[in-house]
Amino acid sequence: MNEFVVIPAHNEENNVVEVINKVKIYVDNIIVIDDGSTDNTYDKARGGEGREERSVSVLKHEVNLGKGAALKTGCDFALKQGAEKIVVIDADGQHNPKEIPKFLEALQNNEIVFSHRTKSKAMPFVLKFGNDFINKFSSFLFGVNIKDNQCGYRAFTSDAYKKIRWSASDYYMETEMIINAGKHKLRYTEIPIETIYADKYKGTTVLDGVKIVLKMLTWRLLR
Amino acid sequence: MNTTLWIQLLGIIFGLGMIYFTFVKYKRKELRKQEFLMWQLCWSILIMIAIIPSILDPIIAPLNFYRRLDFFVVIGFFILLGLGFYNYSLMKKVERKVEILVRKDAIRKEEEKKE
Repeated sequence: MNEFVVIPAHNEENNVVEVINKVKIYVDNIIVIDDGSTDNTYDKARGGEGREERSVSVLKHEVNLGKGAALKTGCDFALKQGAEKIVVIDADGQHNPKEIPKFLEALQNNEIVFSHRTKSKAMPFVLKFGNDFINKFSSFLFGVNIKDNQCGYRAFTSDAYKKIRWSASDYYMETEMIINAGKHKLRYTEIPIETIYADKYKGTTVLDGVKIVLKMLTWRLLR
Repeated sequence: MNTTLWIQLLGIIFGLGMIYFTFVKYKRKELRKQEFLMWQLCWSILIMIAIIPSILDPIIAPLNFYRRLDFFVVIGFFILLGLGFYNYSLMKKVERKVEILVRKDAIRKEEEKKE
């Protein structure tokens, strides 16, 4: 089966190569989307001069559009390459690629696989509180009970992707994906994952959290 | 000089300034002729109202505004809200267009490399 891993990256020159190399152990087809980085993420992901032959497709957004847009570009490209299963993973190294086989195995009987971060002391308090709030709020608004609404380590089949294809270009895409999965009644499962918090200044911020909550409200009221 | 006169003077200075900036934008070819004329008309009306505020009395009187200034504040607020919404929708439209363009470009370039 054609399995692809899609990695959206924004200013991740220090982590992207390591993530690619670790992913490569489990999956051959890797797509990196450099989302308008201002550092050397693109060149590093390409592998530098003379290493163009590596089977990693690196797409470049000329300007930063956001995680949702970057993932959509990557998944659309994966589909064009004949992907049947897609795993999405962050480029900052907070998701452990050794868990990819678990996702692919779970996809045997499901159309979409969500993950939830095991609660640890390493998880910043603001993130823990914000996550819990967003999870409860989305469960209240949409009736979808997902343990970790904002965890970006996910996998889905190409058919499922066509149904859950999101319109958000920012972090709201994680929530929109869940809502769309619920709307199309996709078979899903959740698996626990280990998370490494390397950089507390990257990823979803408090402001992103507020935006997500407001967007959820708008969706519930207007759609 | 009383407060009303100061407000009138400020209105005139603001209007003249905007006429100048609109003219510069037009000369730099950032505005088309129709747009230039439309904005010049707006600023001219503003200056005219600032010089002779009583020309608005036939509109203000039936609305029972206590002062002319109250009318300007209310109308100004509505105009700003309208412009805010217009700018928001325009920005969203441009944002969507940029997103489509950038995403298509990224996929096209990688496909060309693969060929």
